[in-house]
Amino acid sequence: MPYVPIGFVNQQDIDAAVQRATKALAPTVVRIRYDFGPDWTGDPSIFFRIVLADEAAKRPKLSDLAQTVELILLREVKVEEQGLHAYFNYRSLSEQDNLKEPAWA
Amino acid sequence: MPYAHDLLEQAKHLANREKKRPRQASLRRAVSTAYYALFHLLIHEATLNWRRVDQRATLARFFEHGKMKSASERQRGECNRYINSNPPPAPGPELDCMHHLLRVADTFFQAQQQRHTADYDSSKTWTRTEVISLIDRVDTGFQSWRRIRDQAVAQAYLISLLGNPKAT
Repeated sequence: MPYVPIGFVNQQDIDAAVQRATKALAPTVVRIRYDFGPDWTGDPSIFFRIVLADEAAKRPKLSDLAQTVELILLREVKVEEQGLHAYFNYRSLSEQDNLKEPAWA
Repeated sequence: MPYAHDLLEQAKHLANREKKRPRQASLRRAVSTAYYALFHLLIHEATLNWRRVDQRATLARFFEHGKMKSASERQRGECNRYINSNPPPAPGPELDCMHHLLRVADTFFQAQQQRHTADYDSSKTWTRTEVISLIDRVDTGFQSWRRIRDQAVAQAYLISLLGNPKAT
């Protein structure tokens, strides 16, 4: 994958794309936050933090839900065109309410 | 492969060890164990092709995390190009196989990054949902692998995990 410095990523476009994805995934997905940074081998990456509604987080096959979320997110954000890897972390609303981490707020 | 399946089972156990207030130690080890479950599954499957049984453990030591990441990234790209080609591929066993292989390669790619974070980034707080979503993903990866393990394209993926061959 060619190296694309994070500075060349259009953050406004990504913001808009993430908002579109969040709207499409509501109410299952409560909100999506993200950060840029290198992954463990130094490749430029985008790290998504996805807060799920509590009922959604209790589903027996979270991987099916994750697949749907990621498909829609990737379709909107087009990370490959941006030269980025994408990584996903999920948390329930209750977990976040308990931890109150600003990065997930 | 019993070891890989045992690791996956252990990951599930660790993720659910504490009924309330899961410990970070349990959750982090669960993430790491889930990754290693898939790591060892794929390596074991690759080394099964080596005829000398007594040398398979030695062969397994040649696999490197970084090269496996690169191979999985390439495989994801190939699978996506096939699945999203224009005109789209006809429904059938070949398309199904590519979907399953994409699932395996992508799962490996994701799990590897999560494992690195779990093992080395002490600033991150893990939650049970985060961990279970990863373990479930790995579990699905195991199931997908079981469906396609004898297919030529799946076997090609296994050998690619060793690294890029020299150009001919």
